[in-house]
Amino acid sequence: MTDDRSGRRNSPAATVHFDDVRKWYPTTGEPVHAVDGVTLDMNAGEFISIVGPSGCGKSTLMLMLAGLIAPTAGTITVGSTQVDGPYTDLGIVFQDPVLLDWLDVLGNVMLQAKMRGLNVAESRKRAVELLDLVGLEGFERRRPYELSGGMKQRVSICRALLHSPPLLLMDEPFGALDALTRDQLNLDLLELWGRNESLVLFVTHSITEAVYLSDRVLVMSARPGRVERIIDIDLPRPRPLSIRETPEFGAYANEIRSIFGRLGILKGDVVSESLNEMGAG
Amino acid sequence: MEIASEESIESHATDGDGPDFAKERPRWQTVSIDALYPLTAFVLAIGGWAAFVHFGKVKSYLLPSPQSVFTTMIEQRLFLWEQTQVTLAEIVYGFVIAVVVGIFMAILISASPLIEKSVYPLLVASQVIPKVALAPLFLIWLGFGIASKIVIVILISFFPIVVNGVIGLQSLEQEKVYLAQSMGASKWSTFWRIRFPQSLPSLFGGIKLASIFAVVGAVVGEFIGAEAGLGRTLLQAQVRLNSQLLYATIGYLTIVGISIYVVVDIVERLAIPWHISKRKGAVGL
Repeated sequence: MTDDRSGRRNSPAATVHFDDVRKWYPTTGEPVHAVDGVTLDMNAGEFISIVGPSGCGKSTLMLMLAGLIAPTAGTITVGSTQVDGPYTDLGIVFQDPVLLDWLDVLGNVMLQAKMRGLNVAESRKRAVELLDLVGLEGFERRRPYELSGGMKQRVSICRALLHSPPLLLMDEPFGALDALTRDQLNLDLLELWGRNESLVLFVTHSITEAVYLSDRVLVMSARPGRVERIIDIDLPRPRPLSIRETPEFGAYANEIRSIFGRLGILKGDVVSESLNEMGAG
Repeated sequence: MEIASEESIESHATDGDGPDFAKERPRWQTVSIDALYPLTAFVLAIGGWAAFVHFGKVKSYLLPSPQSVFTTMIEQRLFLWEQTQVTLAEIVYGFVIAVVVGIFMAILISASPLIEKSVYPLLVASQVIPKVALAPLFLIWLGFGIASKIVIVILISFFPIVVNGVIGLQSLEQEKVYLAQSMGASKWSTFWRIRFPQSLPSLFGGIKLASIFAVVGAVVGEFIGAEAGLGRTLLQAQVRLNSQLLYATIGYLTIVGISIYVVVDIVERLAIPWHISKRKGAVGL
């Protein structure tokens, strides 16, 4: 994949390959299969969401890709590198913003540069740019305790993007935010991603969020955690928030919902035939 | 009215100032008003003491009046200040060494699983030995001078520093560890940039406790045997049934204790302002 849009990439574009990846945790009885035989390819510059119920191994999958926990079986490769041990050519955003209380906003973003030993002056310039992009100009000297939940998560995203990583991992980053802030951050994220063109792996509970953001959505089931279906989201970009009200969007959301219905994860009147375009998740 | 209040909310929101309610009143004003409560309670307690002695016709060797204690504190100030300097030196030397040794041990224990498994349990178990019981030993080894008191102060005050330090250093959230690993951070930079600063609030909790223990240690050390100091003065006053001097000495010891605590508190405020503010915010909201 070429690099014509961003021009600031400093690492080659990342592709990810999962080959029959399994993870189980030993318990006193049967071992718990958190992830059971996942094989898939992710292309450079793609935005991929993983959606599924709690305990389906979404986060486990992500942490294994980052090399932060080891798979029980199978291999993960990024580009031509097999992941064994922490993989560092990436950025991570967790559900908790994980900011350091003793550093101000700029200091928290700059942690990425300090830990990696990047050029301080250049990184600082980029940090200020990123903070401006997410509407945090003038907040550089604030401490985390002075920020709202949404602001903190924006700082966390800027930190993850500071070094323009070819791979961005996001583990339910907006799960703890209110609906309005979440919408705003969805917009901000697509804006940032458009400039950066990383491969994004985005873990979420929200079907709407997954469809809205992604090129492809991995639908996972729980116990054992496996990929049920991969759905290509063929919606034009840039996507306004209102795209969520279109019939095409509703159809994608319903498709995912009906998979959960069939799996028994959603019970009751899941998808009504007459109303097939209600895009609320 | 309604328009005005809406406007103020609006401006707050666009400023994005965050929770800034404390700013509405200058900080020194809040502090001085807050200080009035304990001050009033203190004055009332002293007043009650004076009234009890006066109207209850209490013998002065049992409980002297606050006025006579205060007078003794003034009249004996040269003698008592000399004793204070001795005790203060014991406390400060012992406490500072305890802080340095305590932090060093906490880092060692949290960094090395081997030391944690082998030394830490012994350290915890050793705490059942009443340190006061060891004091005579140090007198034999180190004599009646300041050295034996310093060792007793160190022994009695370093433990809370180690325990709280270890707890602070080991209570790093999994996500922060993941974050550092994903940045390719070395153990060393993870320690200095994340683990150590994160442990400071807990560590300072231990240091504050230790500052109080240090005063106890010095006084107890002097009880066992000393050439000078406020603890020794207490014993002498007791032997002579000089209650005024006894209480005056307790007064000086109280001032010493409070001063040390205040100094530690100021250092804490300078070292971890981010934690103090967070704590304040939590209380304010």
